[in-house]
Amino acid sequence: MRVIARLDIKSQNLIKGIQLEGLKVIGDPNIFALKYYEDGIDELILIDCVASLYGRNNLFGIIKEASKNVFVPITAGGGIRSIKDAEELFLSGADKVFLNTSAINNPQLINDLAKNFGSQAIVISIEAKFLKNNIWLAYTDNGREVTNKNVINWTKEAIDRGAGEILITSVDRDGTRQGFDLDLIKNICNVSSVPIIFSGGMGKASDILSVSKYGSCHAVAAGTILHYNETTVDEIKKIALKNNLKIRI
Amino acid sequence: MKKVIIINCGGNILSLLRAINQFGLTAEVTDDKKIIEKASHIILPGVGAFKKAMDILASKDLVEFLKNTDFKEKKLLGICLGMQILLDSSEEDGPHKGLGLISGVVKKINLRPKDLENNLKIPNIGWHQLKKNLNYHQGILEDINEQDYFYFVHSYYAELENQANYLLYINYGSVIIPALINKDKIYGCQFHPEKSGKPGLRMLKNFLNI
Repeated sequence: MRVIARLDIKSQNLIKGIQLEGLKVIGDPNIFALKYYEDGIDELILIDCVASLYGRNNLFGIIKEASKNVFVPITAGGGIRSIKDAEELFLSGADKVFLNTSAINNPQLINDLAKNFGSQAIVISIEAKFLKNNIWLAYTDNGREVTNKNVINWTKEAIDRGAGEILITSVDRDGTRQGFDLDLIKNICNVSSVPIIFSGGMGKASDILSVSKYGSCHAVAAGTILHYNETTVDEIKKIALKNNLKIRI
Repeated sequence: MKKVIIINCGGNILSLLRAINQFGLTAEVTDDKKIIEKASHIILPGVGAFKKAMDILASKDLVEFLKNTDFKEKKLLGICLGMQILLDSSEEDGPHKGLGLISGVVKKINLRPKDLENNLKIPNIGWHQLKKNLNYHQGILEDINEQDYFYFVHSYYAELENQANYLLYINYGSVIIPALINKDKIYGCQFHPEKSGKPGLRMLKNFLNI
């Protein structure tokens, strides 16, 4: 199990909202990135969360800065639309890129990126909102735009096309501290042959235990509770270790 | 005189450069044979597909050059895909020929039903502690111990002809995956030392001190 810090970035600021809305400025992303690295984080996810909305991209500069003294993997995305974008992101210090909006608009891009950079470097980000009875719909543009994609089917399609990892965010739980959407996790795990990163709703360190029964190789991403210092990387890992999860300390 | 060069076969070389800078050293990114000839340490990073990396080397006329280089003298470190292309061939979208500096083939990780039941996935993405093989030796592994974790992200692995060519390995389910391979002064690691926190940096530093 990996513990990942998720940093949502707008302009030059680390921000955080609730259900991807009402974004509040928290601070300088570089300072947080470095702190989490020093604290023993397993990976960072950096998200330019308004890039696809405004069709602009300041991600490269952000990644270059935030990755400066960080020697753990960095997954980055937001507004990636082409092989060239991805290439530039790798040159800026990212190890993996993720796509959401552009993959939904043009699924062939997943195949093209996987062929160019290998599946292991391509993450598909899915923003999932509950509709009814085990059905979640995929959203784009930071939870703003609904699509007709059923999250479970879209996960399968993305993997078939070459996604090496899935970052799944429960929009309903994001920023709420209510714990992970375990129904969503269960349904995704049933169809996935690749590792999954669960995001949205982590409210306390011990929430990591709730997802552990769905697979030892998965990862959880925490935002709110780390940024607001309600728990620490160390505390999350100690609880995991105490409960016999395979975790790096 | 220490001279470190990086041959760019794609991927995130920025982190590698920054790691080397942390040791008070600099590295030059180049594909110029005249410069590579003068290097004491060559690093071959790589991300992506096997064939693409070999095509890049071929387009820079470096395949024969590397094959003919004396690595009893010069030091070479392949990282991830850069390690895989040290081998004879790969079955990734292939077969395709590699550099053939260490005997073996690159194969897709083949999980057994039991591994899948245990929720193992491909790619293997995550942190692993390394196990020592019998011919384990110090040098590149100074101050590295079995409690340290290293970061892996790969779908293919090295199956070596000669077991003596790997120093460290991991068990990924029922598959033995060589983690650090070695012959003469040629080293290759499946994990990313530049992404493995402090132990990874120590190993990189050790390599540059050989």
